[in-house]
Amino acid sequence: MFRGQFVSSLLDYAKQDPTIHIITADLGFTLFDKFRESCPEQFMNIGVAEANMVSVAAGMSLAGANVFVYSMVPFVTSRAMDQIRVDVSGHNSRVKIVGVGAGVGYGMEGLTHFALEDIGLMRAFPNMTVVCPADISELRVLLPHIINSKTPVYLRLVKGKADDIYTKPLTNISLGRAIEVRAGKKQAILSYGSALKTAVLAADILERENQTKVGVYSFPTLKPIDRECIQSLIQNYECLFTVEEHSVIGGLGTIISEALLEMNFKGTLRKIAFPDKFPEVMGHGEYLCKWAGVTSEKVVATMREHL
Amino acid sequence: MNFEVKKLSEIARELRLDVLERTYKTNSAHLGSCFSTVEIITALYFAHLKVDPNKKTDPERDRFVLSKGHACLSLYCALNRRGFISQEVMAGYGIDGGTLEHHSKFNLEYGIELSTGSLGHGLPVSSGMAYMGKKGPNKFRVFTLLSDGELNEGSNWEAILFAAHHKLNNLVAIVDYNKIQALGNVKDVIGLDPLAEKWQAFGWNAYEVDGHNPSEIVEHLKKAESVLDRPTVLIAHTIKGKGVSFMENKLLWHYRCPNEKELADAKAELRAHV
Repeated sequence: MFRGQFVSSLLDYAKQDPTIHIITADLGFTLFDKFRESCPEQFMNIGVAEANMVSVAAGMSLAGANVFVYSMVPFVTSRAMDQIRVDVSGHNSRVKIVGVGAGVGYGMEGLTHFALEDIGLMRAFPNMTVVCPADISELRVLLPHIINSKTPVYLRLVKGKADDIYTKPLTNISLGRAIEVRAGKKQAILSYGSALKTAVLAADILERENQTKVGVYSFPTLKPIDRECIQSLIQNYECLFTVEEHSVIGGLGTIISEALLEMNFKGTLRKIAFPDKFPEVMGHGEYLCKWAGVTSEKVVATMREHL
Repeated sequence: MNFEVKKLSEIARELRLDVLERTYKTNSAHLGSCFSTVEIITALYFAHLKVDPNKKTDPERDRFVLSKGHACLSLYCALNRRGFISQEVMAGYGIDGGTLEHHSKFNLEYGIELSTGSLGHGLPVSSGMAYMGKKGPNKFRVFTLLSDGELNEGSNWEAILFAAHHKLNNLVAIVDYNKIQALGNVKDVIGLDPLAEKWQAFGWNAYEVDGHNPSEIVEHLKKAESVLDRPTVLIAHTIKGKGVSFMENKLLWHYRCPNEKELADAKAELRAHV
């Protein structure tokens, strides 16, 4: 499990560094057992009180701690938004906000559990770094940077397990850097998190169909966005496609379009994302992604229109 | 009246005059809220807190958090007289391109521990500080001043549960219970009584004190140090606009800035009291 990997990696660092703390708002059944056993002084279940959790973490960080707070995305973000705004962002506190259940990972649990606006909300706060890794490799290389960061980070985790994207180990990846998953011609897909797999599958289909390579780029850091990478993309590609498990408002599509406008991109950008409405159907994550059109088939169809 | 009490009352009177003067000069609000806090802030900064302007970032310093950030002028004037804030910095209060805003902003150089103004943040953040001050490598105490209206915010009650559960005996909350909030009397908006009993029911040690008697406040702050298994709250009974008869218990003075005549009358009254 992705979050299991996160907690066990964090524990490795916490054993060496007593300033690292993790607080959960009463979520993560069995997830923290080992952490709690190994570093009991650095773990706390603060109860179902996310606003308090964020403020307490800010107070602890003002007294020298490096604090991770954990819950499902909507509870640890929008539920505690003023606390994040004032106590974390406003004080540039060393608080790392960890949300599990990117996009519609908690599909059947319903709208209260969805995470479709979080990136738009969190990226608006000054001092906040926004990270959403696609697989264990990305998480592993970025985690030390997240831990060492002296400023706030929002870490958005995929629920359940995430398929491996990379065949070779990632090196030289730090916060703020995009990753070239594969190079291509004319068309490139830009994605992150749970949707990166969709992007890779779409690229596979198009390659088989057209015998031409399609570029795929991962943006695990959504803020600060890798402008250098975007700059090179507009020199090498004519059509860019963003794919994400997030609302079309405020996510990667928005971020890339803002950058492209400033860079005078003359090509085409198409955004594949969740529409600006709560899902009108019910189902598991995959089913809801189909409803929203965040699927490799939809990506392929959109890209065909621009061949 | 013993010497110390007389001294603290004298400081409180001077702080009130400072606040009045600065409010008038900058046409700012919240005079009534500031006046109800003056003796509490005096007791803390001139008789109790272990803070030192020469060691502003000492990890073992006591922390004071003004949760009711709108009463910041009392705090600024106290920090000024305690040597944290210079006259030059004070002169930048409430002016364009200046130094000090109408709600206190985190700045350890000025001795300000937290940015406040959004109510219901001070106690939860103070609880996090106190958690570290009790369990971390550096030991210290944390004091938070809340308004009564602020207790409408649910986040406080999350923190009240938290601090009691973790037995944060190094945390002291002080409620400036002046019984008037922004749009009316507390009892008519969202009643709080019985207030001390509410905190006690949540596991806190509670004292009710005269919030305009500095020595009584100091005495209870000292008493709180011997309570080892729970945090302490001081329910400080105060008067909004305290010290100037035509401002006392008047909602208007939550907002109004005195005109020239009112300034002169207020000064005369404050100077006449000993």
